[in-house]
Amino acid sequence: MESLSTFLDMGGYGGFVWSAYGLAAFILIGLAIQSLVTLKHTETMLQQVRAIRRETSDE
Amino acid sequence: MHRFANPNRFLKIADRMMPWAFGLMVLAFGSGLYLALLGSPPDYQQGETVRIMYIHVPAAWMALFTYTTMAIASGAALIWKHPLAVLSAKAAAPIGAGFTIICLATGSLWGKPMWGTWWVWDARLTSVLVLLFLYLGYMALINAFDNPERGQKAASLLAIVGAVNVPIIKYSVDWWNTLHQPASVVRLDGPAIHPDMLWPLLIMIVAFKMFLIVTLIIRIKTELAAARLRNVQMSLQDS
Repeated sequence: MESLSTFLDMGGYGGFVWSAYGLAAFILIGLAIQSLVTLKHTETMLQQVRAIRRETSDE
Repeated sequence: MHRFANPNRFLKIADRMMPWAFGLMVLAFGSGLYLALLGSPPDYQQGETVRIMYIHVPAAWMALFTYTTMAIASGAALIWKHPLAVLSAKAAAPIGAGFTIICLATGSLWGKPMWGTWWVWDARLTSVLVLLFLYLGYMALINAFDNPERGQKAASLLAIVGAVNVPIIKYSVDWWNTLHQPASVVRLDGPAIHPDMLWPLLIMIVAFKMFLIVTLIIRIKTELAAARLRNVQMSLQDS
């Protein structure tokens, strides 16, 4: 347990080091999720609009 | 050049690249983070804060790399009018902005304990802040016009003119006095950094680059789907 707290403490600079890593993780993961969600959303919309076009051209 | 500008061919190549880029990204982040946080020694001057370097430097390099790619793609978009070129630049901008924010924020978190200040208005820090504004300006401009082509043209011009900032950032630590340390990896006389620190740094750079490739592919696919969506919607309105 002592080695874990030394690790987290980072020689007294834990606040700076972990904030830096946490912020980088937050931005990268956020970017990845936002990119994926937007792709799925756009592809679903495209499929729906294509389905409408197929229906209207059938009439 | 023209062969890669075909959207269908791009999608084919991108889908084939995706699992490899993703796998390499996971591998590089896994081993890179382990080495950065546990497997590398503290610095003899900076102690444990040197571990911030393993995300600060890759973010800075990728911020510059992404901008350079964006400027080249914008040039290709203006000269050859390739739709894929401008979509790639548009897709890259938010990723580059993210890298730049990471670079600035981790730099602050490193500067406070080591320099005694969160921020100084010197050439290196200021030119990187300008880089962030170039990314944000590009993103605002490309969506600012009712006619998408006008927005694309204006934003592409901004990206090309802003490329002047890239060498300024790179050489700012040599041209002006600064608190920021000079280059220690890419030097004429070889890297001035111990292999125990150089390896985790290089692996983290690979991880960040693979992250760029993976998210860029996802975002270009989104832009292509959005362009097709607009086309179908317009054809529906006409009929």
